[in-house]
Amino acid sequence: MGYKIPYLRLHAQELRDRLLKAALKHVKSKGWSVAALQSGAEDLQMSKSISGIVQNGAAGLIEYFVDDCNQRLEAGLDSRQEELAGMRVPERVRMAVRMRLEMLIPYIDTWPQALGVQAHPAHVATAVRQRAELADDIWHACGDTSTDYNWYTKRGLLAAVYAATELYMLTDYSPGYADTWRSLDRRLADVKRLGGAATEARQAMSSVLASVGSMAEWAQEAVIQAQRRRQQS
Amino acid sequence: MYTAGEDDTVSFGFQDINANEKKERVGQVFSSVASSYDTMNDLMSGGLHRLWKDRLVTRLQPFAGMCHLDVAGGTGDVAFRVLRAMAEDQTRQQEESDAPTPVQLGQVHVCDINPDMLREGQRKAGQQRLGEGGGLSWIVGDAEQLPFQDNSMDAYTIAFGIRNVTNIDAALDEAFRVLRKGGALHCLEFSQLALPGLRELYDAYSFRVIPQIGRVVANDEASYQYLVESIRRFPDQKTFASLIRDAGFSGVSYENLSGGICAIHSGFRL
Repeated sequence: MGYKIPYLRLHAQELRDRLLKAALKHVKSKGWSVAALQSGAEDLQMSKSISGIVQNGAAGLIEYFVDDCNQRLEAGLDSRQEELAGMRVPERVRMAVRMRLEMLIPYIDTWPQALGVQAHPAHVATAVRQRAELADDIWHACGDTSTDYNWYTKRGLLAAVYAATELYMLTDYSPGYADTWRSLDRRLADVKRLGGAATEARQAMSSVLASVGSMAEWAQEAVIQAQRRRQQS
Repeated sequence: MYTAGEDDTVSFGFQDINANEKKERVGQVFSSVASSYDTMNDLMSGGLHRLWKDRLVTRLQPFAGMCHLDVAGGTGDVAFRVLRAMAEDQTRQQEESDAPTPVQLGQVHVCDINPDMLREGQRKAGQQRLGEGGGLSWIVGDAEQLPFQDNSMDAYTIAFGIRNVTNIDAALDEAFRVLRKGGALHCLEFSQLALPGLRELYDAYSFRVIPQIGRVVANDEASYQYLVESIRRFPDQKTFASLIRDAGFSGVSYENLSGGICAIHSGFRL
């Protein structure tokens, strides 16, 4: 019996990953929902009841997707190290943020819903953690070595830039998201004008929290707009 | 694995009795409380049992077309919630679907060893006009020897029932047997409070207040004395989780409700 238990646990984790991957294919039609997980289960030829193996249902699916994106970004930046070395720091940051945002494009119609779920008090802690990790990964890949209070400021500001651009993207219908990338440039220019040292870390962090908090409203607005767009097309 | 034989002793509340005697004694308890069971649950838990059962069904995530088995669910409390959630999913799917074929509702099987409890459930279903178009079936059966085929169920729930089963291992083995690949076990049961202080308070309430409510409302102090004693004898969260793993379930986890007064244990057949 002794050997059987760790084997089974490993199996559960493996299955969870397969289920989440299968569920992502149904997000476009079913949204970020338990129904997407249940459709994924059908693809794996299992009872739909297996959806319960993912903790927090829809929120668990979103958490998995965000973690997966962050990991893919880290790997992507790693493989482009030489290219990055030839750029100035703001350009590197710009490229990294854009690479990460582009991962949302296949899910853009349903992404407002995901932001709405993340803004729920029960899940907001996970969303804040994942955003902090993302900012950290980007700065790390862009060669930031600061260890003073700048460390917090930079991460806070980057998270705020990311959140603002992400929200902009939800209602951007320009070809190739050209307006989004222009908006990103403006936000990065704002940061430069502020100057890292002049902004207190506390202020920066509160802007991250505020941006996450305002997502629900934004998301709602974007859902309405997306619906309108769908009705028109 | 430990299996209680006929000569072994098992717990009946705080007494130790013969294994073959427990079934009969538990049977007497539930025949005696059947008619006042729901009123008593409300009084004893301050209505909380409704929230705990809601949480169980949320955790279950019912879907249209599912084959569900609710064991020890005589009075239908869990079954009715599952059936309603299945009907909601059916309506939702029907609205979304363009296919001409109707979406199937599915089936909830209520299995209880005690015919008196089942009769109470059927009476309630009739009152609430539930399952009139099918979808509900009532079966007298033993959790240790389920009258269902292998790999036939999508999910198995048991709410406040496993504590009263003579041989818990056998009941879990049976749950595993009847579930399909990917099928889920969700078990709602009283558990052990983790917080000191709160625990003493809860003990005082359980041993002093509950049997008195039982005496006044249900005219049956002994049955409710058994109830509180059997709660204390039931294994704690971690021990019970390991029993579920031993029966072959994967991805086993538990969630405490109301600070650990109850817990929902979940496991899956992979």
